[in-house]
Amino acid sequence: MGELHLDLALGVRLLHVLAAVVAVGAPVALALVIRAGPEPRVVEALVARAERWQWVALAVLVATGVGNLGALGDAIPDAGSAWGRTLFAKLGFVLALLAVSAVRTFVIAGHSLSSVPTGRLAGWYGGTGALGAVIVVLAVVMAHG
Amino acid sequence: MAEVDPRRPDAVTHAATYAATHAATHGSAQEGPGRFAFALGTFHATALVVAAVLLAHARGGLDALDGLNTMVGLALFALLWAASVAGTHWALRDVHVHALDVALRRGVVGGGISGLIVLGVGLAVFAVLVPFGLVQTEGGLAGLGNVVVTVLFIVGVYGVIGAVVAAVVGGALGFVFALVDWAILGAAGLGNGFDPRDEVARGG
Repeated sequence: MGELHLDLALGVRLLHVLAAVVAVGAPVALALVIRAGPEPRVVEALVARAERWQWVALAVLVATGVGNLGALGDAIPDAGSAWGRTLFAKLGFVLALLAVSAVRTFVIAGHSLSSVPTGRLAGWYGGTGALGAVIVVLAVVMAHG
Repeated sequence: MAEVDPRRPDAVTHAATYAATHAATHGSAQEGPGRFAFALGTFHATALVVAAVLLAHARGGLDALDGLNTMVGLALFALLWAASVAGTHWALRDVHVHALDVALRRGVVGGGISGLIVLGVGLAVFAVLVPFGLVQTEGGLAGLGNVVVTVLFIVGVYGVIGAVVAAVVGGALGFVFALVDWAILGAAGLGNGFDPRDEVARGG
């Protein structure tokens, strides 16, 4: 039972990291690709797929993040400790990432992609990726202890 | 073009503007709300969970997560996610007039529907798993009739009370998220009386 729990916790952590790779890596990669100026139909196809996967990744990230906290159980430090304050900051940035992602999705969905300046489009994805990178840094600080 | 309420010609709505422009540029009007609902529903579910964890952490209540089985927790999240997308899809079921008051009303009803879906699926799982578990524990089918009657009674009582609570809580959350959505769509340039294509043409 203990081994099963350990394997499950490991699986949840693995899923969390993989989701973070997609949530942070995909927008950064997309920003770089868009700045290279590919054909509009390529951008359209990439953005349509990226948007859906981005939201799936964010959902997995949140679900497995709560699972990770549950695995820590009683070992979670107080909210006033350095670790607790870092967790506060991380959760705040996650909320910001969700809100910015929502705005970005609707900027893209509400406009004709061909008429959105590529610099603006790349900026939205770059901004999303930068927010995600801050969260990764905070996660590393928390994991370091 | 976005739909306009003849009684309130200034109230071109966010969702209608989105759906109309999306339909014009990306495909059918039917496709628009579906994709919109998935992103928005996912945003609602994830933001709700993160906000709840943030509040729990502020109150020092994260220890409570220790008692939650991982698989049950993931299943609950999946249920909340699916219910949120379904409720949002209902709220955006057409692309007609969505003035703020209409959007808020739909948010309340959509949230209530999400709450009822979560409660309904939860009770259904309870009604199936508990008799099965009790029969397994008791080691036979003896008394199965009594167990089923008891479970149906519990499901009936909690179903009625729970439905009211789920609808009220879901409706309140739906109201809050309708306001949040309004702000987000406004930030995305899909505000009242705003044609996003004009903004793009201006290089905004």
